[in-house]
Amino acid sequence: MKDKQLNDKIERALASLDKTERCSPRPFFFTRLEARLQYQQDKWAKLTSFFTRPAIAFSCICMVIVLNLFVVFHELSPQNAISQENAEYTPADEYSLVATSLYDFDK
Amino acid sequence: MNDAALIELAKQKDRSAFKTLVETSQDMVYNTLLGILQNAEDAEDVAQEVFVQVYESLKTFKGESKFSTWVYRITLSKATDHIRKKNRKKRFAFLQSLYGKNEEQVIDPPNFHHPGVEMENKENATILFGAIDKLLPNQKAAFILNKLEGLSYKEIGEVLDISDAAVDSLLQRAREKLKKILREHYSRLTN
Repeated sequence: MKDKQLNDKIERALASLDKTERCSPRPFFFTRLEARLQYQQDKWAKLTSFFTRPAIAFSCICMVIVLNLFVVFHELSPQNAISQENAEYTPADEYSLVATSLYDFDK
Repeated sequence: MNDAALIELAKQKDRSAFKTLVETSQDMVYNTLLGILQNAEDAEDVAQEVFVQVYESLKTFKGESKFSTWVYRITLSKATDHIRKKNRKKRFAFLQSLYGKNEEQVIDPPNFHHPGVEMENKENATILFGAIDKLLPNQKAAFILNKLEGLSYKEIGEVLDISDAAVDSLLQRAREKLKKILREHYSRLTN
């Protein structure tokens, strides 16, 4: 009996959404949406106009060129080439990485 | 004017065409979001996000599916994003309270009253919404689309990109889980 009552309650709860009316947003939804779209467009427009200012754009391009030149000259410098050579050989010597198989140790 | 013509005009940034599209689909978006998010303010906010996305992505809409199906997909994706964001905020809520920056409500009120539910069903519906909130995201979406939006299995399948049989099994599992949660709820009340 108790189980039947419980099942009835569950079924009633499950059926409680059967005749639900569709809800609408508050009035003037489109006006608020338009304001939001306008705000978003303004935000992007501000950001784009900032980066397209001649001074900012020129500075950014100069910075990119300087960074590129720095990397190129740093990589090509002879000192760097020597240090790279050392970096290649040192760990190999230190950890006996020249031995490639067990047979090499027996020699 | 039919949907296809309106969409073509809206793609060319025609304000009145976009307004008509919004006005014909705002109720379905809001109603779905209200069922999933169970908070009127959040539902309105996310509904606006949905239409911003519609406005921005309209040029990519090729008409392979129905416009309403496409809008439902965006709605579900935005709802999922919102829930994820809200859960993240809840996790860090204690930090916000430490720094006294607790302006917005992070935790929803426990009992949600859907305004479209008939008066005699209000109490049962509130209990049911509490149980719906504990469903898995895809079960919840399928259940809401079926119960609140009255979509057929075929339409739900198109929105969720699954077969009719998969929708059937999803809804069956959702109902089983709801029954289990409701049984626990009512048993707790009687004991």
